[in-house]
Amino acid sequence: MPDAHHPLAGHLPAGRHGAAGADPVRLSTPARDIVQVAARKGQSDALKSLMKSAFGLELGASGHVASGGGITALPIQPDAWMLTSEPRGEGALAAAVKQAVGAAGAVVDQTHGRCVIAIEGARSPDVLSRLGRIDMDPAVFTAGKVAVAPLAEMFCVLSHGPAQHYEMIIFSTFADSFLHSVITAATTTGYQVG
Amino acid sequence: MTQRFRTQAGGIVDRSRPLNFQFDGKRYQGYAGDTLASALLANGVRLVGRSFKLHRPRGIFAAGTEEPNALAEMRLGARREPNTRMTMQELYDGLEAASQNRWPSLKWDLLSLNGLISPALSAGFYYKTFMWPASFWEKVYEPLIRRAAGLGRASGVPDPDVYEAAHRHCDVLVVGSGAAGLAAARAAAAGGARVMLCEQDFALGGGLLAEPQQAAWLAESVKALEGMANVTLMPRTTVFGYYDHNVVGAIERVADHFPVPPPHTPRHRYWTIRAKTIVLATGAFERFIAFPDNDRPGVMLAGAAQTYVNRYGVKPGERALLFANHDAAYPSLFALQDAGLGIAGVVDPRADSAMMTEAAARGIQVYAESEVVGTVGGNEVRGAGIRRIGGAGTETVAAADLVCVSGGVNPAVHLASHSQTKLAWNDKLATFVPGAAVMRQHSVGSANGVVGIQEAAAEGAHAGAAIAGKVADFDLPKAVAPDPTVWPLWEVRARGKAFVDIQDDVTADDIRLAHREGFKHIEHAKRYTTHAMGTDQGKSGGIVGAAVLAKARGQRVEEIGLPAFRPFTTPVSWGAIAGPHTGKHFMPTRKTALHAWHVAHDAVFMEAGQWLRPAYYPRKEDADAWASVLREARAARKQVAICDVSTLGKIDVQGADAAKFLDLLYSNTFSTLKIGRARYGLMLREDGLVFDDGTTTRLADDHFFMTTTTANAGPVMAHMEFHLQTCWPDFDVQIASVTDQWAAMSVAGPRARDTLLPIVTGLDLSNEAFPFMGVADAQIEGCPVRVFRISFSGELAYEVATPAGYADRVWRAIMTAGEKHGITPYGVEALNLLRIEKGHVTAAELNGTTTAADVGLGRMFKKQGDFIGRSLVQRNGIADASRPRLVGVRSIKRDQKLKAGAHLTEAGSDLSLGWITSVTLAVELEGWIGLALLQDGESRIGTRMEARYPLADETVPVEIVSPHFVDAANERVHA
Repeated sequence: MPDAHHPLAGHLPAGRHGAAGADPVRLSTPARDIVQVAARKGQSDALKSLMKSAFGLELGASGHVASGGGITALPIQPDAWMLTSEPRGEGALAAAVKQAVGAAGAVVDQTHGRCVIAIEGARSPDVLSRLGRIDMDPAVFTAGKVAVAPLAEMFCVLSHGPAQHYEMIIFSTFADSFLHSVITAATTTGYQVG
Repeated sequence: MTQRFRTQAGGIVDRSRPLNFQFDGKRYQGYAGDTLASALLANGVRLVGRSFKLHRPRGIFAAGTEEPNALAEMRLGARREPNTRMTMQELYDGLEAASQNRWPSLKWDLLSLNGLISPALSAGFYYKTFMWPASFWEKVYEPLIRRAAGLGRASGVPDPDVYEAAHRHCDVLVVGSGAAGLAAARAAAAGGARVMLCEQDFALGGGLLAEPQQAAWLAESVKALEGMANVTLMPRTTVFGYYDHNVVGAIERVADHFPVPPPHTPRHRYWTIRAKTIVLATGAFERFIAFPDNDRPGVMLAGAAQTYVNRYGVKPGERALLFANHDAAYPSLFALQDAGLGIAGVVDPRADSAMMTEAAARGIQVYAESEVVGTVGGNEVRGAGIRRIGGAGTETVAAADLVCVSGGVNPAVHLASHSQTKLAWNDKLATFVPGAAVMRQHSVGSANGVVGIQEAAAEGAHAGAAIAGKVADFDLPKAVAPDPTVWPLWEVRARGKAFVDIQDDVTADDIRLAHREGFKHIEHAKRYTTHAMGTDQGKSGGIVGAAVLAKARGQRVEEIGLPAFRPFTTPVSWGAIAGPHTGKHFMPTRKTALHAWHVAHDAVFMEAGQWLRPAYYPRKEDADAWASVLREARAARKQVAICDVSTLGKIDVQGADAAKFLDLLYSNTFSTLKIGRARYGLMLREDGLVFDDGTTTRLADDHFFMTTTTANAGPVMAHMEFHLQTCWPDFDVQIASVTDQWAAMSVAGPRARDTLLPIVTGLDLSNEAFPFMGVADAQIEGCPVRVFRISFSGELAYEVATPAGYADRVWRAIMTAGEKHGITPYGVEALNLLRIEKGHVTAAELNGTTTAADVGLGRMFKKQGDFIGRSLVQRNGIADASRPRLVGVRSIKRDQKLKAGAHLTEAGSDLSLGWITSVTLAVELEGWIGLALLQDGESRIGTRMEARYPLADETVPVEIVSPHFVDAANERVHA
């Protein structure tokens, strides 16, 4: 199967951009497989159990990241999660999850419909605070936290990974516009690509 | 360049850092730490502006945000900004400012001749004068008034600077960094709270900056706060509004102290701050006493004079006179005396007081039981007339070039008032103070009516400690507070103009006039006279005007109150409000996966909501846009054409109750739809009017793929969520937006099948195997695709959907395969043409006012079972058979252009019987055609009417025809 085109391919030229000074944030657009899974009515526990059996992944409570089996699960609404993984091939993650959960969950491949922008560095909270109203204080939005909120007036699933790494899952057709907002916000801080 | 009014020593300006600046083209020098106002005073510049209406000469009156007079145009060219308060403008090297509202010069202003007709320029002047003739208002009066109105000039060209918006959360927000604010912040932070402290000045300290004896405590407090990791200090940050749930808005002036913002630095940053608790330590504004000619340059608030001499090391004059009615004003005069100014005396309506005694002991002449009845001088004050209280005329003239005035202080209650805190009257201070807080908020220090540095700090520390739950453990400043009791004196009535609003030229007489003319309520009087409007919002004179009105009404000030305070407390730049959302970044834009291809092929884009869609693809040989559109549409009718339809909303619907849910969602049935088949659906709102339409495909028993119109993708999704959560929460249905997951392209035209046959694998495209409304998965060049045999154009057509990452590859493959068939990309304009010819409705017809029957779709309703809108669609008005119905219209003279929005009338009648909703030039037939909604539409088919467009005075004879101009029998789509 041919390689799929990433909606932000070529949009982030490598190098140092924006304000000079120490400690720029680092921006990237990592490729991810993305699958949306929602528990069928009354099947939440069954879904969680099946996901744990198949992937060792304990689907987390609202606002908290869970990981297992190479999959990261981000709660996006009651009994629904956005699952991400490193690229596994067209439809592979969705197929694996579908096989695992069977009739307990509604599985929708969003690998092409969503994309990820990552920001890393000590000043990431400053940049993100220019995009939305989430309390980005690292003592509040700690590692492992997830928020579903508008950033730059666009729907976003924001997660705080290990250390100072944050990932934003956004709609692919908004990606260009969203990236522009991220770059604008990062310019006053200074940012590094690559 | 001499700064001859600079004191020999003192102040907190950095005398080792001289800064050069210009005012009205003349070069001056000040020091780092100066404001433009202090630097001008240091250079002896007293006349700095002209008043709004009468163009009277005006000088620097205050030292802070309450300044009514000293407004300047800052910077040049595109960065020119009017109405900058010189008292707030931090001096920087190379600063260029100009006075405003004068011509040809500040000293010789022709419009000052307005003063000769000032008796006619009273409150309500415009309303009373420009009444006749009525036709003159728009053509003569308003343009003239607008030309004369305003103070400064905007640059008129795009702002080259960038602005930023940001959010912040905290446990405690402290507004103001005077003694109370610093103590509150320190106490709260010591208890572990996350503290933000916003100070609008560029230096922290508030009123302490004018109190040299408190310098050590101030420095120690700031140092302590700077050392706390849980404290964020934000100087140059003005909190301008206090909103529900302890949300405040603030502007940080990031780069206003530079000639040009440094690279990658925003000029202003707009903060939205959410605080668990807010401490308002906003201080107080000194108020004046209205007396004749109290606006002359050289008249200044007493506290401001103290600030200039103590903070900036500037003598605001050479010989000062104080007019005050309370002891707390006297330290200002003593500070001037200590700085070496001559003292002309003190005028006080009281008989005696501790400070009056001390003044006398200092050798100052005290005019007890007296008042100032006016000032003398031209563009600068040279003296003040004095008389005994109750006297007449002028008994004494005291020579002075500085008349300091203080009628008491008003707590800065604006933010508290925004938070819906009611104001309470304080008899001792003769002013309003904050009442009980409504939100989690504390007003402290002078903002709460507390007098004295020590007392203010103590109250701040107490509030901070109470919030943090820990007793404050640091030293408070030591100071003895003078008796703040005010002997209420609001106005000296004597001959001349006594201003209650110095910026807007509102006099005490104007207030009385408003009262006489029926504008007796404080809010009405404000609007009639413009009192307490303008950039200063009446901070130092608002209550004075209220007192004048109260007296006219025979009431006390506390009975009539003040006009409501609303955001913004102080002027805020438009740039900061707009932030980065300017130009094409006003709102997010949405691009399909094929956007780059469209750009590369010279598409002209149009905005469809947030989407950017190709409108058409011009070619060199096309004479105009219509030529492009017609060429593209002809290709779809005669050969094959391809259109990016990725913007259609797509929703994945799964669950055991998915079919049942769709039966309720749509007015027609979906539970009978077979797997691998699509069906057109019509969705109503609860009120029975048409909401949306689209096709839905059944992928499995419990799995559907819905499409919506581009415009309604979001609203339909919300509609579905709403009903699932509220009406049918027990349904097993899960929905997900997959609009972005699937790119889609419509391949339409008689050669559509021929185009796809060679490249589609895994699917038999023959009419028998894959009939109209069939759906199946396949591949194109190894890419997964889902092929829908559906048509919007009325031609043989396929919609090819593919995961968005393959869109470009699939599109190019189709273009290559279609080359020999003359494939042509077509945009939204041709799409619209094709659908009008076919008689398909879109948003122009499904506009929120039409029913299914109106647009010819009434027969789609299922016979059995409920659906959203079923009940209300049966209402009499909605079910009325005489409602306008969809018809086609065609110009009788084929080249006569039709206009959407034109009314349909009988020939010679003015009675509108309907209107045209959509128009186009046609390719299937000649000339202009359109769709229309027309009363008794079906029965009028075959008749002639007129399409009238009164805005352009156009009448076009039309014939009423079937809305289906093309293939009414639907044979082509089944070909």
